[in-house]
Amino acid sequence: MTATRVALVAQWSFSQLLFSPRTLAMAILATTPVLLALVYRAAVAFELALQTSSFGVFSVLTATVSLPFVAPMLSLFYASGVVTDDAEAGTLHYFLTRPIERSDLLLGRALGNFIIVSFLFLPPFVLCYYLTLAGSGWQEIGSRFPTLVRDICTAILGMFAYSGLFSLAGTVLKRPLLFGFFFVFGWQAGATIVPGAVRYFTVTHYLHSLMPHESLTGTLAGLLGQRSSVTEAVFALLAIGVATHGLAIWIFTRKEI
Amino acid sequence: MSTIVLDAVSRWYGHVLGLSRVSLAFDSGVTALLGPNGAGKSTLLKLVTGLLRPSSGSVTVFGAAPFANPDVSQKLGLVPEEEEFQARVSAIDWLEYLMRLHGFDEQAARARAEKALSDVGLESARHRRVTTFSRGMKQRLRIAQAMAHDPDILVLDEPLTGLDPVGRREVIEWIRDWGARGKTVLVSSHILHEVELMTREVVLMTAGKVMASGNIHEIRRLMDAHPHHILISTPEPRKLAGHLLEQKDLHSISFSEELSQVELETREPDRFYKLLADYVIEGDGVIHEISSPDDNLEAVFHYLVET
Repeated sequence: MTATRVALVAQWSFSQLLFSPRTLAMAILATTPVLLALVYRAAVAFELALQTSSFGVFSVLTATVSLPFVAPMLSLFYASGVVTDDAEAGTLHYFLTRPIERSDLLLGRALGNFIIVSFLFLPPFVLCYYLTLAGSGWQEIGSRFPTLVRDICTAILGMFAYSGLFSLAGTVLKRPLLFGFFFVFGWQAGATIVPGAVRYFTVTHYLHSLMPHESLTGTLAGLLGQRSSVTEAVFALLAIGVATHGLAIWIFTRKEI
Repeated sequence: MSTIVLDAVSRWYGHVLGLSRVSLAFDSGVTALLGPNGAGKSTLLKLVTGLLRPSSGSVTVFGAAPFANPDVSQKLGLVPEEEEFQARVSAIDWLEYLMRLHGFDEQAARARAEKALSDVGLESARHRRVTTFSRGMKQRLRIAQAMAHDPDILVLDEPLTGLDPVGRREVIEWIRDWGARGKTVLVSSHILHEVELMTREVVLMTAGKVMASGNIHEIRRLMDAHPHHILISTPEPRKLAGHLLEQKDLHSISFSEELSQVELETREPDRFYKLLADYVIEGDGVIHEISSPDDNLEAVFHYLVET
């Protein structure tokens, strides 16, 4: 593996995706929490009776929209195309007949995809934080900032795991989006309510285990079930990301086109 | 040792046989793979370019297995048949990126991209988005990306597809030139007369098998040993038949129901066509159309399969 080749492919991949129709659509999806935060601000402005604190609203948005919906959807729509994008566009042969290791090619594409997913996810996420806490004053914003940093790290770890999983699906399957939708809305949604160890085979379990929001313990704890420790959750998300990316590369280097 | 060697290569797609125990060797110069759709030409080219692995047998390029082998890819240029281009990319940026994948630095990659585009006549369109290119321009770009890094081996899958007559002539010239410069050039086609303009070395394929290989004139001689069918549309079939019946090489002659078409069989097609020209020029004969079902490659295959 050569880092310069990987960086070259990642840079190309990012530049090709940046102004694509897909990115425009995903940018709209990524702003969903911001729109909800604006609704909340409007509700506050009109002095509607709200029983949750500003930070509680941000916690709920993170736990119900940003992490379980926006992050996996962004990862799915980019990572699943790691091979199929070129296969469907009819450009794969141009790359596979170049003197570059296939592992570098796939890793570069995956890196480019991950950068654009982060690029789309993080700014609206941070904006959502400031919007929801805007009425609480700078002291509240400052004191809660470590939580935001931890949420960002959790989101990055989650998107890494999702990206690996969907890259693997994109390398193996012809219709990886179908698998992705099933995984996110079928398997993960079902596994969290099934008692026993099934939840350990989801990404959401580890993401929820990493969320530090105290306000969630009462509200969503029942739904989310028992948490893993922070160390276990970090290790599990890293392991899922590394293993699935590695497996995708291993398959791609042996794949006939 | 030959540049490209296929040794008893078979390739299966599930239960479908794509290539059956093919043994071939290619050296410098142009070799054409001829055959109808489904003959196994593209499979053979994919095996040589390392996109596929053989189910059995072995493929070596410069002594190494080409599948996912960057060392082989470094020396290889592929013009794919139907591959497209990425949206929102200009011709020059596309080529520059591909050259950078070959290990050239930014300046060298740019210079090679510029030169290749100039060589294929796309210099003025280099900053245009590839998606706005005509079919012929895209084909020129496919050729440019294959030759920009000056490879030792060029593999061209149906390179004349989508080109106008002028473009076809140019590409045929380039192919001949690459062969003359000592490069190993493999061209697939299903059009016999275009291949004849590129090279004399051909491999005739059908149903995944090599039916014949070698010098094209040898194969044509093989064809000439069996009677050629020729259809002639004329308003005066009896006059034409009377003129032709004097010839010894005529194997058979018959008329269509409308009596406006004469069907002939001859073992000496070249002499027959000369005779036909004499009939029109000297005998004031009128001919509307001449066609020969035997002039297409499929007829040759049928003949080769039958013999």
